[in-house]
Amino acid sequence: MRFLAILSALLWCSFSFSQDYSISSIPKELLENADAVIRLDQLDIQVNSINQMTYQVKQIVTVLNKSGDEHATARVFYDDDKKIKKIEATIYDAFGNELEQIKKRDFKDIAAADGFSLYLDDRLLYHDYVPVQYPHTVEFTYEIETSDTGMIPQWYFVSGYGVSVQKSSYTITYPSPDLKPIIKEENLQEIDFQKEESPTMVSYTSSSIPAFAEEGLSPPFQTFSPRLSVRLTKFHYKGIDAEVTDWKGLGEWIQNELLSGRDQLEESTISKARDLVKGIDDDLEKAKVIYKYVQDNTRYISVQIGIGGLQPISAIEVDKVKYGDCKGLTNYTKALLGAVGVQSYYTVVESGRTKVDFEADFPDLLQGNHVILAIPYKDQYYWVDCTSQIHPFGFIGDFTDDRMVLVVTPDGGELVRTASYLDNDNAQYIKANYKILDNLSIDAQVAIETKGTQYDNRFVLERSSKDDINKYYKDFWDNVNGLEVKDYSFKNDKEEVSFTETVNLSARNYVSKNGNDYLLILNAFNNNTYVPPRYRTRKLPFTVQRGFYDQDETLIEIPENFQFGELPEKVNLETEFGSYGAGVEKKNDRELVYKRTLLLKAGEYPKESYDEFRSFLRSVAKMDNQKILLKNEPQD
Amino acid sequence: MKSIRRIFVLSVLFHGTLLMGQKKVEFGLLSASEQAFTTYAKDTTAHAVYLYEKGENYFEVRGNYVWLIKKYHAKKKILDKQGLDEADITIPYYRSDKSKEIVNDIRALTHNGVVKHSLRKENVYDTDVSERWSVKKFTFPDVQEGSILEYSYEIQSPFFFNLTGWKFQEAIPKVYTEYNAKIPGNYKYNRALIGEIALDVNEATIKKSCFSIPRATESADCEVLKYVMKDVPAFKEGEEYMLSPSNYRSSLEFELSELLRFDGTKERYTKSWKDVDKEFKTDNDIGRQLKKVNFFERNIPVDLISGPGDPLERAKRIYQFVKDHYVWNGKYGIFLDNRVKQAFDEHKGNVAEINITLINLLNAAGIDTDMMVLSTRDNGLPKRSHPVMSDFNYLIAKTEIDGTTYLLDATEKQLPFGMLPYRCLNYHGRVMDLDEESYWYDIVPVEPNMKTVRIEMSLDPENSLVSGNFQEITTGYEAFFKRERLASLSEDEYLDKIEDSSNGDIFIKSYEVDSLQSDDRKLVENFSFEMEGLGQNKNLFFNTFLIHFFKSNPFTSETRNYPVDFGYLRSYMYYANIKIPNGYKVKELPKPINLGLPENSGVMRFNCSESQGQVMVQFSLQLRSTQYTSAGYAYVKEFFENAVTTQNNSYLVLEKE
Repeated sequence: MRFLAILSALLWCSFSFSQDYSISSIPKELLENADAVIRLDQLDIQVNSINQMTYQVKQIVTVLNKSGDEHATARVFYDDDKKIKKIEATIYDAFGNELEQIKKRDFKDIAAADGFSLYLDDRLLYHDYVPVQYPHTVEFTYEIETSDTGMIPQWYFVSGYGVSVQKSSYTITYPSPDLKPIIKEENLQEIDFQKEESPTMVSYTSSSIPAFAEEGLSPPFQTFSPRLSVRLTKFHYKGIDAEVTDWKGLGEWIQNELLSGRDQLEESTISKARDLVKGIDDDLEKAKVIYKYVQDNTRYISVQIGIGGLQPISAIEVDKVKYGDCKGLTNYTKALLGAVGVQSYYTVVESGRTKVDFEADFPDLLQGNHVILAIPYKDQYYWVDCTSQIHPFGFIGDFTDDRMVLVVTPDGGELVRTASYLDNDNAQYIKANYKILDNLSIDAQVAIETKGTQYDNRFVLERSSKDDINKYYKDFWDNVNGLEVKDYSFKNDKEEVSFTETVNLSARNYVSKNGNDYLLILNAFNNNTYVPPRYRTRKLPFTVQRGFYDQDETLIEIPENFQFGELPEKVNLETEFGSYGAGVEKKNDRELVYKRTLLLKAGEYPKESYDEFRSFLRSVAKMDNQKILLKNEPQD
Repeated sequence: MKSIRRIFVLSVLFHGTLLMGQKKVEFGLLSASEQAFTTYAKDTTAHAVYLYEKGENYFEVRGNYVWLIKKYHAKKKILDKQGLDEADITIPYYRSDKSKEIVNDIRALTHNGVVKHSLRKENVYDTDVSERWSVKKFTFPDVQEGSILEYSYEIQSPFFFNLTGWKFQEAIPKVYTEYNAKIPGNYKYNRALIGEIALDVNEATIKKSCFSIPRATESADCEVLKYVMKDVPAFKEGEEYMLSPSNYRSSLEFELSELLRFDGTKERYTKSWKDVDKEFKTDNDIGRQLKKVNFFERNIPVDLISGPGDPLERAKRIYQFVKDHYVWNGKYGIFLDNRVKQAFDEHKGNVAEINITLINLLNAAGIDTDMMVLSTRDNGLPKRSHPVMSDFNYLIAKTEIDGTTYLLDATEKQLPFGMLPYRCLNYHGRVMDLDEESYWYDIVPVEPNMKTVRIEMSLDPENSLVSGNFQEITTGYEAFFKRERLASLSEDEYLDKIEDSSNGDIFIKSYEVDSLQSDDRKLVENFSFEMEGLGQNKNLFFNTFLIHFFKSNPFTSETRNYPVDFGYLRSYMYYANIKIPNGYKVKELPKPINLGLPENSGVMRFNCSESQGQVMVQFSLQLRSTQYTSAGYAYVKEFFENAVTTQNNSYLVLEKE
């Protein structure tokens, strides 16, 4: 009996490992909301020593339709420290019959391009398969050998929206306890999984994970999707060894291995910097002068070679060529500040409009894609982005705001939250007047003052070409057809971080003739038409990442011989998402004052509140489109 | 190596002035006027300007080989911070399997007043961008507002076909741009001047015995060319609805037509259509591929070709077969190695492979079909003066059945028989008739291309709701685009897009394609919908356009330097019946509108009327020309502005009784 039991176990094994590629074997629940089904997603990592790691990837993806193509790409990046040992792909039809084999020599080998760097030394091996039929299945396998154990591949049990997973498997082996990886499980409560562990191995498997459907205003995918973060405490990266247990230690490593000695400057440069701040005692004022000097004299150029992906080019080099990437320019600014006796810290951040925090309990090199500078002053940090030639000192906008970042101090790293711009901080004040002419056109003067993140969206206008500015206003006021900008002027108060646009414009046929009367849409210059999409059943919670506050006041003048029809009543809406108020008052027989406020609050809301949120914004859109009748009747 | 047997002497028309003694511009030195240059008065919106640009192309013997040498020298002034991007330089160079171009002597100098910074070698990067092209990249050091950036390099090329001409006009203006070429008489190039700007210098002279190779007894005479343009305005790339900018941008185009090598061997590229025709008939790769009738006959269902039906039915059957059989890989590839047999086996191929299959099959079925080559809209119009084969990038089938001509392309699954993809609507192509002579043939887009919306709806103020049904009928290209969208999107995504194109917050409750009324050039779709938020006020304002054709005016520029080209004639119709709710009466109707474009090239009508408790809305917009000149741009712009205003501002006003 014992013999039989072993035999049947073996049989079962061999059966379960032979893959069935036909689509008929996909469980029905995995087809829901799915453009592609990951039949198998398998990663086997062998950490062989501190500077030698290999891993094998096997992905079998059944693509159900065209949108699913993106889940079955065959592309791998590599560089001098990361070699592709093996790579191949096989395509199967819906019944599991082999259609095509793609060998290593069929892959194209090109220089990687990120769209903004002048040069990168990364390369890309890829094959773009042209599907001849749907569904079809792509099996893609490759093997990597690398000395960089400082970046261990992370694991997403589900890689994105619109894709379900039949089986997912992650295994990592290691030779000794000191190379045992630390694995952080994130959002695993969402799935069933098995974890196995032995003294030299850890593995996770999971099966039958249904697809997530994409919905507007969803929180960032990684905040709710099941995944693993993996790191070694002792690792090797681009030729450098490290041992890191916390952020303090990682900061030390960055300081000692990547930054140390890079902030030297030529004597002449040091004296130039000192000349610039001559007569200024206050450190913050000095910092402002130095930052302006960097902004006026350098520009952002990205070149990434080897460790240069992490290490800044030296301050001396930046000083010579007057350009650099975020690391180089930040390090250069830090060096100049150092020369005038102002302390500042190199700071690593995950940039982008979506706020992503560094994870407090998980120090690794994979977090962060940008570098800014922190200047401590009177128990507070001032943040500056040295890649921007135009941002005001201390203002970072929505690119790096309100998130946990790694500040590298001489005592090591620490996680700190950057400046945040709250709902009312992101304000827009519009003061306008428009005059309706006999030919139903309008002439208008509009003054717009913006602050906070709204400032961030606008102040670049100052640097735009006339064509672009004209286009911008036509787009910004796309509710006003036939708009012509006559002239404009801008005032950028960098000290107060406030931007004022003054625009003179006209618009043909703003008022429309209806029968004997005329129709006027009161709100001409801040018409909110956005209503979030309707879902039969909302599945995910939703977030408003940044709130804002708008306040408008518009004086409306009608031609002689025209009279106002009935005026609408004032509206006030108060909700948990924000508030709205709009109303119109008659000043005299020919003038109205229209006033409006809209406050939208940042927040995370449960899916149950979505309909209410939608209804709030729908009401706003409706009210913003409020119309009145004008009459043109001869008066006695 | 043999000596030259014959020297070609070109007969040359002399234009302009004779060669004058020209002061040589030395690298690193700025002229007084360049040093003094501060603003560019001719275009105050420019962020950077070429002060000087010069190219020299000639042939030279280096290491026993004849090379094409292309020298380049330029000075750009950075006028403001937005011009800083002009400091990033990319120099593309080409390679084949056997040899490649070499970029020599890259020099770059930033002039900041009298201070100069030179580029260091290690800051020049080399990257391959595709199988055939690599680039050298660098950026200038210490660039400031006001810097003058000077650079020069040389490309040493084994590819004589890479003497392609000169771009006089680019995205930033040029104060002075000069092109020189010295071409031995035995290398022949066709040439064409594109654009409307006149040359300031246009010189062509003969230089005797200017080129020889070692051990040759004789030397060749050269044609010496010099072309200059001064104060060339920036070329602004446009908006929607245009043909390729290359049709309008000022440039000089060269194409290699004949090469008589110094060893006496001769290679003809293109010369006359007769030569081209002959090539296609005899040794041309494409021509050969067209004769694979036997292969296809063996590999297709028997009754596809010899089955029943009149020629048109059989042609349609074959067309459908090729469309179903192939997936287009997105490439055109008409002059690359086409492997029709392999493509057929793999079920995928480029434009040439797919359409050559189609041509072969039609001919096999006894339906006389020729190949037509053309240039896509974004590739530019092919020159009609002489054959420039590199102008063509696309290949289709032309056949005549019962006196009707059909142009066919089997690359798009949703494309009906007799229609070409939008990219092909580029006015004319050349039919390569292998039996007779080739000839030009006009590409006439199909008609009609209509989008019609019919709506029945009722208003329910009590529940603040609008509900009803609408039908969308599209024909021609409008139907084709819809079918493409339907094929590439899920139904939900498709309906989301329809909802987005509505004037309000509509929600589509049901959707179906009316297959009985639809055919291959017509699509009829039925929707039912509801829209919340009508309101319950004493006065109800309701936009009579539930669906709009244009969200905003596609024409935003004040002026336009090249024609507007719509590709095909189009028209839009909107009919709505709006039921007036009980307890309300019509207070105001939008006023009728009747507008036209000059020369009756477009018309728009809008009218509302009330009868028996319903408001009827009728709107039509027709374009009766596919192309409008830049002079007529203002009218087109205004016409569309009025169309958008009409859609956005035509309110029905109801009043509570």
